[in-house]
Amino acid sequence: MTESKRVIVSPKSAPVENNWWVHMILVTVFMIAVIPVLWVVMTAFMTKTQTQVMPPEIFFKPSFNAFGVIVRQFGMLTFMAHSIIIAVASTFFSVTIGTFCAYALARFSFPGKEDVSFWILTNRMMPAVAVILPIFMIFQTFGLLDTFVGIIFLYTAMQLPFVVWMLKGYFEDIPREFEEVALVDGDTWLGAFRKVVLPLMRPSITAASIFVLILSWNEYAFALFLTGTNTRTLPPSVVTFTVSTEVSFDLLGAAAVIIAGPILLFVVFVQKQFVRGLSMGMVR
Amino acid sequence: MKTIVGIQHRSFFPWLLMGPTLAILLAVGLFPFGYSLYLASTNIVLSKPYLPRVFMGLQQYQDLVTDPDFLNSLKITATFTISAVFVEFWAGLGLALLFKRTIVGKSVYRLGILIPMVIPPVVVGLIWKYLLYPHSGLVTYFTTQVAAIFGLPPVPFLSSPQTALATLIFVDVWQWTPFMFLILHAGLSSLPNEPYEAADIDGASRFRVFRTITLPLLKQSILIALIIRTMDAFRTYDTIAILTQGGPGNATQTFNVWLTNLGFIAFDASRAAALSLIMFVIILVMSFVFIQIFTKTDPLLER
Amino acid sequence: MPVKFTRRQATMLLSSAVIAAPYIARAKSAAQAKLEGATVNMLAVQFAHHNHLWDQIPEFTKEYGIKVNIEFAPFDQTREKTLLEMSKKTGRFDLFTTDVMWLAEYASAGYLEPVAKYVKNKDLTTEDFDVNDFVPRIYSGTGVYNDTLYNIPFDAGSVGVEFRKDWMQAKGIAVPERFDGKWTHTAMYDAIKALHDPDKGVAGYVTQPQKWFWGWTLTPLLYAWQRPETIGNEFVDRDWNVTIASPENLAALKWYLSLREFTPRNDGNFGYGEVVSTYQQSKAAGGIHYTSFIADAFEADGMPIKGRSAYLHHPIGPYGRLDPFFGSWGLSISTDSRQKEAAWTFIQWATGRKAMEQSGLKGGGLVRHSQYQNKDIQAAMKWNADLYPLMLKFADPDERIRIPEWGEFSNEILGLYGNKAWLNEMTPEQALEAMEKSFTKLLKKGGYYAKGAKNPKQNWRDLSYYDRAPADWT
Repeated sequence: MTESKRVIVSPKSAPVENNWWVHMILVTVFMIAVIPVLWVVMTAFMTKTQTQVMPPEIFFKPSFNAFGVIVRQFGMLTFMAHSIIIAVASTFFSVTIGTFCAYALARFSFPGKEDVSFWILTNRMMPAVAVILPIFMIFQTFGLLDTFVGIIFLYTAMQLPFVVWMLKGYFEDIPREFEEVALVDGDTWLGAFRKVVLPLMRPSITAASIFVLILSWNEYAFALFLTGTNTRTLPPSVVTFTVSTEVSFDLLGAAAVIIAGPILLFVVFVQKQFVRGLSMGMVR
Repeated sequence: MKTIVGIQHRSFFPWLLMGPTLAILLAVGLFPFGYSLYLASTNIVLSKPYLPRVFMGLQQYQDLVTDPDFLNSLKITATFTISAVFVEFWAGLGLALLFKRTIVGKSVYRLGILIPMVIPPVVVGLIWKYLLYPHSGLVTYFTTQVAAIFGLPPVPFLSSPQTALATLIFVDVWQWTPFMFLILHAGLSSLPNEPYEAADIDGASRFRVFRTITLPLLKQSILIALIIRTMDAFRTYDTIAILTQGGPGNATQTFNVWLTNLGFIAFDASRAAALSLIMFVIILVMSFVFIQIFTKTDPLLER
Repeated sequence: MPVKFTRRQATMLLSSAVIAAPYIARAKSAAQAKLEGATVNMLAVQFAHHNHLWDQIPEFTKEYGIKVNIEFAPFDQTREKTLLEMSKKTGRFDLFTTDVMWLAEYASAGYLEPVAKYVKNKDLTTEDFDVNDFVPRIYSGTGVYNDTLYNIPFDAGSVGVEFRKDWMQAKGIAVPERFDGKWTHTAMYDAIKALHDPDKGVAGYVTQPQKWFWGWTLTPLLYAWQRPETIGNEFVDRDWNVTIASPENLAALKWYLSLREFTPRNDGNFGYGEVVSTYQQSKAAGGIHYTSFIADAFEADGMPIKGRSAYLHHPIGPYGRLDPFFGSWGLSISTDSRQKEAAWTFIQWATGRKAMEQSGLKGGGLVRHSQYQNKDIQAAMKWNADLYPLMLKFADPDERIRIPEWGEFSNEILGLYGNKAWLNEMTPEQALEAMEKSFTKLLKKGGYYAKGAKNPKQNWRDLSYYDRAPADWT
């Protein structure tokens, strides 16, 4: 598909490079979004006393003490390894499994389709706090408490409705003729799916994966109750080690860097694909 | 010769594709739902296994609905959800429209805007707790300075029942406007060009183009963004728990905070289960209405 | 007369001396040797001052060959997580850290293993445990519910108030000592009033009106304000009728609310963190504290306020009564544990003389006579050692009354309505009425008024109950 400059800009909004008010709005929004995070990142390099000094010191001698504490004393890197395993695996499974389901819902018409589709969505509606007890009991029965299998399975289930609902729309937008041509050429359904549909869907699937990865990486409530020392992920660890009766903001800063850093870097690299994938399917 | 129509006739095929998803969701979703129904019909307090079990029928639901906390939480949850989603939607749409222009440094802006949504909600709660901390909070410090210039007292961000909810809404907006922006931005950048060209020929005004072309074409994106955000805003817990714990008084006690208090402070599993089912029904109805509104008015989306 | 050994005897003696060399402090019994190689799991609250004890665990493992695997929980979720594991009987944890205010709840539900039998078991308990070295009230107060011992203390403290010594002296206010009897509610009020200096951005006092914390902000005052004839009726009378809305409690609440004039603006949702932070930055002349947190919060190296505070008890009430607040943490064994003996081996080591001495020196809790009498601890952790008279004589382990409902009562009833009174959403009278009504409802739900109800003992009416020698609990 070729994109001309005119496609991006609607005719009425003429391309204005030097529109100062647009930049003013964007700079403001940018600062509101970034400064809080930047400030907390800075506190990671402060001593505990410095984190409380107002007016803020912008220039100070960085200390790596907080990182030392959370890495050496609290073993945050182990939790990070757990987080990586759990987030990546649950993303892989939920996207793989959900893709087929989304395809089926988009491509075929069968009785009860709308109901199934809505029922899938309802699985996202129970508040986490409400299902912790029954899920805990299931895990206990099957010996899944504090195991990777258990929490990965749960996150997969948790993300499926999102994956299905998101990808469904994109599948619907791929003309069905594309596949039929391949089928005419003698391919099996799977062959046609792999050769024709998947390449077209790749950007959207990537975008869905990124979303799911972020959500799994950030999940707190289930992780707190269902993981233990063998599988504990970062979010409950951050709360455990930075919030006691008081919050240690230097430790919080360091923990925030460790928990959000990798995923932020990741987003920097995949930003383009992310947005492209999201907009992809909507091309009619 | 196979055609997709041919495959379609084998009615088991879509079920085969959906099988794994449905199986997993049934495994994880059905038992909790059924168990909650059971819990809500009795009087189990987890920390008091010695209390005699009684069949309660619908008593738990009735007790909840007649509890003064119920109306309070309903009001707070509704205010929180509606205002947060409303602001997020318009702010996200506005930003997305700005991004339709050719702007120098677009991807840097976009990256910055996306940052809040990537950070774990618990950490967002802690970040804002820090920024709003008495004396040492960055926001507290500067707003106090500014307020002092006008002879005003410091802003009671989290400590007054009148303002705490607004602060929580702001934090939600801060975190989730990027999500709205992202979905709508993606939707906007994939709109077909032809209708705009036609409008150009007709000489339609910019507002009319937006109302009659952009909005209807964006419907699919808007639906997804609104449903997901509404569902999640309704269930927001992490940030509220860290910033106010439902206080001051019970001024920010949303359903989810109340639910947690019932479930994990009173350990009243039955009452909590009943409340969670009520919440479930509310979300269910809300989502259903959304979907109806969006699909009924747009024949394009009825497939 | 020279002793003659056969060669065999000599070899045996020699080799056992070699084997025993690393364990000179404690010879392992056969029962303990059998436990070697075990791993016990513990669910523990994450507190900085507890880490001084956990940091020594490698020595325990070296000595007994038992590994200890700790899962930490944030304080706010410790009870939630513990009760969920307990009530579902997962058996994943052999050990729990139990706050004294949760003991009744855990024990009455049958989730904790009675431990007196282990204390008495000479094969599993070393001399280092030295049970009668525990301060009796701390030992029984932390561990006993319904005449049964469940929980061995490793951390004890009290709430109090800290004030800036330097500022008091500058204003010519006499700085009292903890428990010297001069720190009355009028003295404290006057000091706060004198030190309050809003122009300099200094509040006279900072406290924690947030809902969560009323269990330890208000109870010290309720206790101090009782008249001799109402002592023991702070929350309920002998027949479990709720007596919160009493004139004494009203006076105490009103006094507390009168401090609002001198506290920082916008403190309606302040918790302990905000209190600590405000005081650390010298933005308040006084504040509330829990003694175990002092070492890390105010006296850590590099703190600008280090050494500038006087640590006092809550003020003496109008009828001369001193608040007997008692807080503590203990180690308890889960009834679902499959390795209770290994778990006990850890408890008797962790709460033993040696480990406790080491942790006490660094700011860990004090529970033993030998700790309180240790000159080094007295010098390094004065604010902890100063509690000795309280712990010996008048601490009331039941100040937060020993009922399974305390957790819910403290947070959802005391805290909620107390906070509303602080915010002026309710008058003090309305708040106490609301507390009384809700608490009655809660007790009713708990079956306290049913016919033939077996209600907990009200041991706070005769504190000598907790003075029994630690070895005597069976």
